[in-house]
Amino acid sequence: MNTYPLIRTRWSNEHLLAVLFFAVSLYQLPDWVASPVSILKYVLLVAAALVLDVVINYIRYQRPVCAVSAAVTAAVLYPAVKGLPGWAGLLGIAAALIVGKHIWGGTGKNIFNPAATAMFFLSLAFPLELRLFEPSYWLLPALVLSFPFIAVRPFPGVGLIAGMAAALFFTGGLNLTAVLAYGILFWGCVVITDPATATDNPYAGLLGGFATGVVTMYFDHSLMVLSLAILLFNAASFAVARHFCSSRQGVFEGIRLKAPAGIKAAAAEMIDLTEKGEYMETGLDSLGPQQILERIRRNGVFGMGGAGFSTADKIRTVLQADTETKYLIINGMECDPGLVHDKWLMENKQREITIGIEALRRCVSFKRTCLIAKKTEGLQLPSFVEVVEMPDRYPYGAEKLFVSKLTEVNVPAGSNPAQQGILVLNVQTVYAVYEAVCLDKKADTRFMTVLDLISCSSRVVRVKLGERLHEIIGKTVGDKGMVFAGGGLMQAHAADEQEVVSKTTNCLAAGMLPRYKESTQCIGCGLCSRCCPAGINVRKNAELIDHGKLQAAKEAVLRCMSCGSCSYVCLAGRNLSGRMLDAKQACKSEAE
Amino acid sequence: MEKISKDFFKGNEILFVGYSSKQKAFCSSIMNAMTKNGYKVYPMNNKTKTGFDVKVYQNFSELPKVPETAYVLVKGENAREMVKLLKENGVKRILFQNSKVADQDTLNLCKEIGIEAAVGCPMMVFGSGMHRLHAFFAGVKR
Repeated sequence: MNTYPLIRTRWSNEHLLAVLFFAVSLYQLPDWVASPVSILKYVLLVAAALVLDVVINYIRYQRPVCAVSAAVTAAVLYPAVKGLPGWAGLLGIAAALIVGKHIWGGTGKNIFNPAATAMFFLSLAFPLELRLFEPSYWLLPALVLSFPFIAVRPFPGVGLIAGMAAALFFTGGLNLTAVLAYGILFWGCVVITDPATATDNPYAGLLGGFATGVVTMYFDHSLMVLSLAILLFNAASFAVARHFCSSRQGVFEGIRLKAPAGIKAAAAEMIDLTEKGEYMETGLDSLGPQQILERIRRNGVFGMGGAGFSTADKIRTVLQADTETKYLIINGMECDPGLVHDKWLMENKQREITIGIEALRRCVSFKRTCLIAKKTEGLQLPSFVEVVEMPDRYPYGAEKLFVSKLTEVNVPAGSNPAQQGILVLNVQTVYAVYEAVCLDKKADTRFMTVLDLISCSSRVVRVKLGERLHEIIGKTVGDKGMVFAGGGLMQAHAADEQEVVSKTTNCLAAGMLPRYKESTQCIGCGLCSRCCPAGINVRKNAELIDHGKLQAAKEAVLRCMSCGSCSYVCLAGRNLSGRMLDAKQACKSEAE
Repeated sequence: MEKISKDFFKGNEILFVGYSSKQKAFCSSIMNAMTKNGYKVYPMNNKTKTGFDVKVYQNFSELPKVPETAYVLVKGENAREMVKLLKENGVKRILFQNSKVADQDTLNLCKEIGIEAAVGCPMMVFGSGMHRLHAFFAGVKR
């Protein structure tokens, strides 16, 4: 069964393209004001594009598919064809959609910009000038609205604008009228930034965009030269993506996730569904390091952050690590937007957590002890614990990410921090260490967050391992919707009727299935790769998995952290992380 | 054949036959709408094993219990066999998605073997927005 984030970005390709269509349409405002009849020609051209795209898509996918991208193509093409006979416009639309787009496999799979393709073909038959726009204040709304689209592919956009402006400057023609008439912002913000056809490599984008702009404006102010230059830039972008790394690696800063309102405000009281036993607290002074370690082992303390590894084994690995400098990092990040139980523990169980840390420090001589959290206000821990506040971004709670930030130790692939002398424990594991050592209590219970995604509320619940998930939901939020379980809102799966609380169950949620529409219309925005903390080219690897080429995607699949960021941000509504996880499991079972 | 209404879905459990991994968005919206209306849905697909977002049962023996009402979304050529199978397993009412799924022969077969049958998109009963409009024009009482 697939895993997936239970929340998704509210935006989709269709939203983005609809706004773009509106922005591009506004470039016709001066014409429409001067001659309202021209609106009809514009509408007819857009309608023709929509019909053609819908028909071709229906033949390709055997079902209706949104054709808003064709409307954008028609809107971009319109300024070039508005002075031509109607049949030339229709010919342009056919060239754009068939030759420029569908021959390559449809939306997002095309190498060349469809509108630029059509402009090039039309300019072979008709003398088309580059002065497409009438300078007017009526262009202002279009300029304002189209400017944000430069963010889709900023480097080619800035390059093209700079190139065109520089060429005009050196030929002595740079002024506001020329900028408007030549549509420098139109080409730079709307056309060359098409994510499917423009590289997201900063250097190639900037250089290619600049060259395109300079060549067009310096040598010949004709649409044929501009469209040809854009097509050559598209070809270069394709070559860069194919032979070099195209994604902007090294700039990963995590993503800000928005949990449904009300989820973060957890109820102050914890619901305890476990049977309370009688335990006597033993002071740490009466226990030696070996006895502490033995109690941790005997009581079966495990990693409660989601991995479920044996804590005693982890401590032993750290003790055996061939390094002088050893670190203890307590993870209280809880970067998943749906989780609240670690925060509750840090607010309500500080004494126990402090004793847990002290017990661990008696087992291993740590050079540095850190506790990382999103908010450190109100935390009163002893001076030997360095409290580090981390940005509220996802997935900053992923071990390898914060380990490299805090210790500058890069954990190699196939290794783990414990082997490098770094003991990373979740805050709840430290609490379990306290219980195991001081109370001699078995680690057979855990705290978890129970979410009600229908009425948007959350609860901290203490449960016994092995308790039925559906029962817990019934006792805490009541039977409503479907039941999901997993590491958090970002890594969940629909829980089976008989599924029970396991060592890795951090979160339980009652709600509806998230809407993954699995659209065929991926525009190649690259958000999935940009948001990947492991620097994976997600789109390329997801395509390989879809085509059954598991071996080709194996290296990336094994690097995937299954954080769900790619599925969250995907504008095409595709569950990319689910694909990667499935492939990972297939690779692992193949290896066994 | 009767027009569908909420009364057609007696009990609070529905068997969803033909839950597809290819038409994920469509199937999950139907499942969500039924769940939202308080029904427990048992999705079933005897052909595909992987790629689902929910637990999908492979056959009747896997099902914890067989509901009395089934919603069928299979290819027309498989519908008649499915109707017989559903009858054998105790299903009393079947809603077919459309007339492509259940032709007149299939509906006649339902009548012969004593199964109450209806044809229509369940979203007309459980959905909101445009589905209400669809229900209005189709004369479906919600």
